[in-house]
Amino acid sequence: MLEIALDLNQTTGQCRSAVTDSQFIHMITDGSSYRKYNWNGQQLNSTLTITNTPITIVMATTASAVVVGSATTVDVINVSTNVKSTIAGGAATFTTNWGQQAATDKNGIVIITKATNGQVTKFNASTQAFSTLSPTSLTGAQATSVLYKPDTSTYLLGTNTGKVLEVDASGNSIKSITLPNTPNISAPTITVTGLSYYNDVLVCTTSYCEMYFYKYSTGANLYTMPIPAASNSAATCSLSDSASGHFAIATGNGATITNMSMTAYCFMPNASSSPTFDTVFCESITRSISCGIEPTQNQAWFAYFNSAGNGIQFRSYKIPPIQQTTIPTRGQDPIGIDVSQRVIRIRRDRPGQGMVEVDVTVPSGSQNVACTDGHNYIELSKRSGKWDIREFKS
Amino acid sequence: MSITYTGTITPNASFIMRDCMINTNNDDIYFLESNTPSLQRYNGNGLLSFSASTTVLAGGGAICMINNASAVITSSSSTNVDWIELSGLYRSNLTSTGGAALSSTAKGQQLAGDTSLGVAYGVTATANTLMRMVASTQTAAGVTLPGLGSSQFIPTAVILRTTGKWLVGGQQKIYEIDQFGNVTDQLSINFSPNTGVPVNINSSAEMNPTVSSMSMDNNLLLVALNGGFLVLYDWSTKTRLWDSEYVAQATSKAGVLSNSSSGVCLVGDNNSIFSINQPTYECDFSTNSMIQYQSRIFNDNTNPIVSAVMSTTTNTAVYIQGTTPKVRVLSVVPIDTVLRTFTVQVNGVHVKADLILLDDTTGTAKRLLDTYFQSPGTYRLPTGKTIIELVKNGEGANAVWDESTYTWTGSNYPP
Repeated sequence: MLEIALDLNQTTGQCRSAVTDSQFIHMITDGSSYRKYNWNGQQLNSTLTITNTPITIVMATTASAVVVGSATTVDVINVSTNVKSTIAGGAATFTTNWGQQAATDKNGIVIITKATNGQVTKFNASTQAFSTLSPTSLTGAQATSVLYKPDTSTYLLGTNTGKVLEVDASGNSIKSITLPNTPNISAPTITVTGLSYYNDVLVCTTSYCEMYFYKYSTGANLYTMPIPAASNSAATCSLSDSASGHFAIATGNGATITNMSMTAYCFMPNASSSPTFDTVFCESITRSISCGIEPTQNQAWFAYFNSAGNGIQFRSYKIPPIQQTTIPTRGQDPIGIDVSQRVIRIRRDRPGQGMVEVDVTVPSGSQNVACTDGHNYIELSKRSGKWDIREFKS
Repeated sequence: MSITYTGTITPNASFIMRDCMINTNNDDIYFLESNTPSLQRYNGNGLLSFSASTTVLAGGGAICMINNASAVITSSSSTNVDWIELSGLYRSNLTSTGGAALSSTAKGQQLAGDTSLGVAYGVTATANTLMRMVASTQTAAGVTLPGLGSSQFIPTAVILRTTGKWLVGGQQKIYEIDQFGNVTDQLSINFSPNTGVPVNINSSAEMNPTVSSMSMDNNLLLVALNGGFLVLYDWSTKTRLWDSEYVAQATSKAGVLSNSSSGVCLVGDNNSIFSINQPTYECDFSTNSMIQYQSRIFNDNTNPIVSAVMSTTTNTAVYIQGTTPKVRVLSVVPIDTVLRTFTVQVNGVHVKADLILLDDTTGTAKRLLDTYFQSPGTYRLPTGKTIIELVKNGEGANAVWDESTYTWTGSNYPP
């Protein structure tokens, strides 16, 4: 269950986004500010003035944060010295209404969305130089969200033509998935507003209030879920990077939505499994514009687009641990004779949220089988028409 | 698991759309409009041609079949009831006894009939009060929900749960009532878990969950709440299984659900504030005990959806839009499923149990159903699957488990 860990209120400006690590929260706000906090909520720097209407901040290297937004410049911030460099020659992001407008490989390369057909901006934080990438698959479309895909060192681009494209850092097109736009009474213009990826599972959200789960390697649609969406123009739900299959869901920016909302994060470990959600109703918060998970702290954070004094602006929730661990298992039949067995581990923290996290056949003897720390499991063992069950908390 | 767009009926632009209905005997489509006011009938089976119409009572706002030959209509400006003989659209206007009027807000699920019993219930704008119509006597009367004391429960939605049982939803509660108006069960709804009392950020008024519409498939109940939330319950134990926020909504507005057919229902947007055309979704809430969309149809305008219905005998589905009146007709083909009743008994007594079904057809297990239910319980399973069934009664050291693996053909019962 999501429990409040930390609320950070600003005296001015609305929180736009953050990037975190084990020690710090690097936050950007309207009012063009960068603030650095520890996980106790203490501001550690002097508030730094940054680019107008920032929307995304990424750690391009361990030392440098890069801030993008509506300006044609980017700010490179040395997070240790609190010194900023403003680099000209870029372009505004596609939007400032939802997150995931920039992504990095953490080795200095940052790919940024752009409101120009067929192009994305590439920024090298090490050389502080811009270039433009023109993937052929992006022809006639604009990148509306971007995610780094660590297993292949490539980037996923959501587009305003209802596609998810994979490109490399040189702009070569690798793969494309097209989201459904039929049947229709009128053909929609689908904008991909959020992306997350883990272990061959691609998750994307759209301007039409749907969250798609794809088996990425085959392009097969596994599940489609309704998403929390709060906007007066279109759904602008964005996602966080995945942390071991866990990702947070931001409802999106909506100027006229005033009712309380739901905060959620999701877990889906592989394409053979099914998603499980953890949700909480929020007391007076309207909509979240960006989100993230900090695995070292076991927290999920959300930037809520509220003006100062009008609701929470940044909140981090404690979540159950997301780290993978192993719990040994051992099958014997009869007692004393070790046997091979099929082990099915069902993660089930409450009725209705059960999902198969692991399904493996293990050799005889004590075997370590993966699971996620801090969750409740049902373990089913099957062998030659026989079965056994146990429950445990990892 | 697919939607096919059949077509659109474009009514007179002056019509104020209120409700719609499908005659399950012949697939004819009916919709109610309160401007004339009139009931309009169109030929079904994909023809979508005008058939007939009749004037109805002023403020006519909700319609349902009460038996195989007739429908009833309740009004937001009158406590009278219209009785409609469907073949000839012959109309009788009846005075109710102690009745109450509907809310004037156009929405579906304000009237629900049991055609086998010839009884229909309708919600009203009066606290604790329903309208009850009986076909055999052609009478209509106001019914006070008993046992609520001084609590002011405004009923907002009613559906037929099963023969002789209705679910009446309102603020923070869903009541099950029988054909005589007795409350036989109830479910409390709250916005929890929460990080504090949910409020409207501008007014600071506490938000209480209010039922907008419901859809039921055997033990599983999908509820649309104000504020744009969907919640899935196992009705037998009132266990909350799944919840989701699905669209941006003003505080007082919520989603529109149709009735379910073969475990799927339509999900529509009653008060879109979007500037883009919100789709209408086919929602499957039965085969995985999740809230998931199987398909959707992209609309061509942002007009709010007032009411939606699905035929339980054909694949026809209909939803109506207000502002600029439209009647959308779809064909919705659900996943091939069959119902299975699960029983868990201890010493011959039916008990509550955890029920988990895994699809093991590919050799890698995947969730098929996860619930906590009161035995016996009926759920929908896709056919032709190899299923691992897990059942647990009790907790901790006292828990008793059972497991079986079988291929479900729709008629076999596992050992």
